[in-house]
Amino acid sequence: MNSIKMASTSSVRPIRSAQRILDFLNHFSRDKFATAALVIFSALVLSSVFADLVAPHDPLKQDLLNRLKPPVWVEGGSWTYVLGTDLLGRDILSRCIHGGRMSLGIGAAVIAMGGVFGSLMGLLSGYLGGRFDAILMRYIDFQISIPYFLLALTIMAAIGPGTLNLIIVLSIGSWPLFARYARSIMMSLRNQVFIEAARVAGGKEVAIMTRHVLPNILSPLITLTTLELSRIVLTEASLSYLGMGVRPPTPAWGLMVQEAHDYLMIANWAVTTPGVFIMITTLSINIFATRLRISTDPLQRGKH
Amino acid sequence: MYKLAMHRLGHSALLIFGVVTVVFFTNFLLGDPVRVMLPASTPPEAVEEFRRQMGFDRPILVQYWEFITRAALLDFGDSWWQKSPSLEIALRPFPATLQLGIVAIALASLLGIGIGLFAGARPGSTWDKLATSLSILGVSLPLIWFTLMMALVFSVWLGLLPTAGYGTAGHMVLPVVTLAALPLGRTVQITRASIIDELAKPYITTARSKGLSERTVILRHALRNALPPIVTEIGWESALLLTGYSIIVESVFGWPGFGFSLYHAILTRDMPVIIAMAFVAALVVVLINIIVDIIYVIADPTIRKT
Amino acid sequence: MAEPEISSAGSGSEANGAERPLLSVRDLNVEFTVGESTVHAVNGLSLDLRKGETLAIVGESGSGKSVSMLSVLGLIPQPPGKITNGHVFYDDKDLLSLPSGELRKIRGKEISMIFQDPMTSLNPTMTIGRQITEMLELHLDMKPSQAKERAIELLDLVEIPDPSTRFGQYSIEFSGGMRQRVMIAIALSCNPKILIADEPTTALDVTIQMQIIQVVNELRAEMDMSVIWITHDLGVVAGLADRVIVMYGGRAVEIADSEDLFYRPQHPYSIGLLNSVPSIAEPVSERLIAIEGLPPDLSERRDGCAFYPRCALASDICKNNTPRLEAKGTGGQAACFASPGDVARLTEGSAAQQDNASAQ
Ligand SMILES: Nc1ncnc2c1ncn2[C@@H]1O[C@H](COP(=O)(O)OP(=O)(O)OP(=O)(O)O)[C@@H](O)[C@H]1O
Ligand code: SF4
Ligand SMILES: [Mg+2]
Repeated sequence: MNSIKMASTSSVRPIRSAQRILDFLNHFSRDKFATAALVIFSALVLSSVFADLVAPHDPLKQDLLNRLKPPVWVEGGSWTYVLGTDLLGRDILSRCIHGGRMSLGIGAAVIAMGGVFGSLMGLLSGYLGGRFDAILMRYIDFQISIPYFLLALTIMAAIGPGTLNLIIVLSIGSWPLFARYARSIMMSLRNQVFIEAARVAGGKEVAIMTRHVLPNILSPLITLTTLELSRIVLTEASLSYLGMGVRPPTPAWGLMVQEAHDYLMIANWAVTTPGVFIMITTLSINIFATRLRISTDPLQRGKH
Repeated sequence: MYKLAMHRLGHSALLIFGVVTVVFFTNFLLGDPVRVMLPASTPPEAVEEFRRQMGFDRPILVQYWEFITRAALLDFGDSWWQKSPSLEIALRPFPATLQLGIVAIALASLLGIGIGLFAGARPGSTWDKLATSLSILGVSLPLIWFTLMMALVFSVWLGLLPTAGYGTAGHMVLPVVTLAALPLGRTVQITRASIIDELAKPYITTARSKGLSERTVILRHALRNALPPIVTEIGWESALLLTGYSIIVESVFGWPGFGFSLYHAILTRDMPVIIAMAFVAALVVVLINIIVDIIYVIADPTIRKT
Repeated sequence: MAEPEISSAGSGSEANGAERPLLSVRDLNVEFTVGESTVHAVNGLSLDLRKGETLAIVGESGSGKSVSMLSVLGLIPQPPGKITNGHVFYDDKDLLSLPSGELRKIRGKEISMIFQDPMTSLNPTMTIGRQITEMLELHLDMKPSQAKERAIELLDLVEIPDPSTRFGQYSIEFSGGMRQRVMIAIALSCNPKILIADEPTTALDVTIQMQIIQVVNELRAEMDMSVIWITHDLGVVAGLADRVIVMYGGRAVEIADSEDLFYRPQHPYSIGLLNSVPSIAEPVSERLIAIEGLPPDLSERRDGCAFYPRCALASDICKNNTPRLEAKGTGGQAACFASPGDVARLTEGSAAQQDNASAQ
C-alpha cells in the first residue's frame, strides 16, 4: 500500500533500565501510602525477626496475679503490660510480636516451599512444553478451581494440627499460582519482541536479562508474592482459630483470638489486639501491592 | 458451544471426584478411623477386633473402591455418631447457609458492581480514591477478628442486635454483613478494573462519538462487555463464602448452617460426614460454575454462535 | 461566545476565502501526561473546513492527526489528555467550551466520526441494528419500529447485502469491509454536516479500500456533507480530497489544494512525504524512501522548526525560530523559512533521485 507510515521509533524507544528504576523509585517514594505501607510492613518483619530482643516479656510466661490486665490507656492498665494481659497473665504485646514471628515465618516458609517448587515446575513446564506442560496446566486449572479452605481444614483435621503440617498443607495450596506465573515468564521469554529488538541491536545476553527481562519479571513477582503472603497469613489465622493450625501454647495471632474469644465481653483487648496485628499486616501488604502495580505500570497510573 | 459444555461437564465431574478422593485418603490413610471411634482406653486386642469387624484392616485401595462405588450412588455411609445417612446430615443444614449466603452475595454483588462502576467511571477522583481505599480495607479484613468485632460492637456494646442464634431477620444482620465484607471489597476492585479497561476500548470512543450520555455509554455499552471477569470473581467469592467463610461466621454466630455443621463434624472426627460435606461443597462449586457460565452466555450473545 | 475570527491562517486561498468555514480549529494545543513526562501531541493547530469540501489530513504516525480530530468532539481521554488551549468554532459555538450536554447534541448528529479499526470500533455484544437505532432514537426521536426501518435502509444505502437479516447480527459475523460500512451507516444515520474519517481504510484490503472510499464519496455528494479524511495514503488523497493539510509534530506545516501539493509542494517535509510514495512497479522491500531521521520527540518542547533535524534545507534561522504558516506563491500556505527557489530545486532533485531508484 502507499503507506507513508514511517518507523516511529519514538513510541517504541526502549526506556533505559536505570531511568526506569529511577522513575519508579521517584514515583513510588512520592506515594505516601505506599511508603507508609512499606515502612509498617518492614517494621513488622523486623520485629518478628528480632522478637526476642524487641518483646518486653517472655510470651509464654504466666503471671496469674496480673491476669486480664487492660492496656495502658484503659483504667487499671500499666506500662508494664502496655497492651494488657490475657487470661493466664501473659503479656499480649510480647505474644503479638512473637505471634508475628509465627505468622510471617509460616508465610515465608510456605512461599519458600510453594514458591520454589511451583516456580521450578512452571519453568520446566514452559521449557519442555508438550505433554508435560499440557497435563500440568490441566492439573493447575483444576486445583485452582477448588476453594481450598475447606480442603485445608479437613486435611489438617486428619493429619492433626501443628506448624509443620500447616506449612505443608498451605504450600500445597500455594504452588500452582507460582507455577502458572513462572510458566508464563518462560513462555514470554521465548518470544518477546523487545528482547528480540535488543538482540538485533547487538545487546549481550546478560545485559538483556538485567536490563529488559528482570524489570518485567520482578514487579509482577513481587505483587504475586506479597498478595500470596497476605492470603497465607489470613488462612493460617483462620485455621489456627479453628484449632487446626498452630498448637497452643505457641503464640500465633489466630490462636490468640480463639483463646480470648470466650471472655470477649470482659477483656475485649485480648481479642482486639492480635486481630489488629493481622489487619495491619494484610492491609500494609495489600496497599503496597496495589501501589506497586500502579508505579511499575505507567498505563495504570491514569487509573488512580 | 456444545463441545464447550461437554468439556465443562467433564471438568465438573473430575472436580467432584477429585475432592471426594482427596478427603477420603487424607482421612483414612493419614488418620486412623478406629482410634477416632473407640475410647483411648480400649485394649489393643479389642481395637484390632473392631478394625476387622469394620473392614478397616483391608488394603486401603479395596476400601476406597468400596467407598467410591457406593458414593457414585450417593451413598456415603452412615454418620458414626448419629445413626443416619451422612449425605442427609451434610445436606440438612445447607438451606440455612443459603439463606445467609444468597443475601450476602446479592448484597456484595449489587453494591460492589455499583460502587465499582461509579469509581471506575471517574478514575483518580476523590470518590474513586475513597472506594479504592475501602475496598482494600475490605479485602484485608481478617474474618475471625471482624466477626468478633461486629458482635462486640453491635450486640455487646450497642445492644442493637442479637449475639447469636437463628430465626429472626435480626439474627441475620451480623452474619450477612461479615460474610459480605470481603466479597464486596473484591467485587469493587474487579468491577473498577474491568470497567476502566473496557472504557479504554475503541468501541467506547465510537459510542461517545454518537452523542450518548456517559451513563448510557457505561450501562448500555461497557458494562455488558466488562461483565465476564466480574461474574467470574463473584462466582469464586460465592464458592469461598459458602464453603469457607461460612465455617467461621456460622461458628461465631451460632448459625446452624453448613459451615457450623462441618466444623462440628471435624471436631467430632465424623469421617463419613466430613466426606459427604466435602462432596456437597464440591457440588456447590460446580453449580456456581454452571451459573457463571450461563451468565456468560447471557452477557455475550455471540458465544451462542460460536 | 467568541466570534469566529477569520484569520489568515488556514482560511487560505482567495477564491472562497470570503465564505465562512463550516468548522474552524484555532490554536489547538493538546497534551498527554505519561508518567513524569508530558507529550505535546498537538501544538497550535489551526485549520478550516469549508462547506462541501473534502479535506485530507496527512502526516506520519504520531503527528497528532487523530488526537486533534478527537479533540474537536471532546473525545480524547482526560486524563491523561488535556486540551490546554484553542477553539473549535462550529455554527457560532466554540465546541471546546460548550457544556457537555450541548456537545453531545452535536456529536453524531452534526459531526460524526468513523475510525481506523473496524474490528474493534463496534460493540461486540450489541447487534449491529441496535447500534444504529440507538442513534436514531437519541437524536431524531424515532420510535423503535421507525428506527429499525430506517436502520435497514441505511444498511442498504452503504450497500450491505440482505440488510434485514444483517440488522440482527453481531459484528463478529461481519468482515472488516462490511464492518466499516456499518460504521459509515452509523455515522451517517442522522445526516451529519461533517464526517470525520480517521484512516477508515488503513486496516482494509486494497479492493475493499476503494469500495469504502467510493461509498463515502457517493454519500457525501448525496447528503451534502463536508468530510475530513485522515490518512497515511497519498494515493487516497489524490483521488478524494479537495485540499490537504500536512501535519508534522502536532502542527500544520502545509495547507494546499491537492493538486498544488502534488505538483508544487511548498514544505521540505511534504516533499519527503511525496517521495516516500512508491511506484507500483517497485518490489515491496524497496518501496519507501523514508525520510532520514526520527520523528520529533514530542515530550520536549523546543524553539525552532520541528523538522530542523531532518531537513535538507535547514539553515541557522530554522534552529531557534518557529516558522508560521504563510501564503506561498502557489496559493497554498507553508510553515518554512526556505526560499521558494530552494524548495523547488529540492522537489526536482528528489524527483530525479526517485526516478533513478526505480530505474535500477
Ligand atoms: N491516550 C494517549 N495517551 C498518551 N499519549 C497519547 C495518547 N493518545 C495519543 N498520544 C500521543 O499523541 C501523539 C499523537 O498521536 P495521534 O494518535 O494523534 O497520532 P496520529 O497522527 O493519529 O498517528 P497514526 O497515524 O499512527 O494514527 C502521539 O505521540 C501519541 O503517543
Ligand atoms: S523552516 Fe527550516 S528546518 Fe524547517 S522545514 Fe523549513 S527549511 Fe527546513
Ligand atoms: Mg491516528
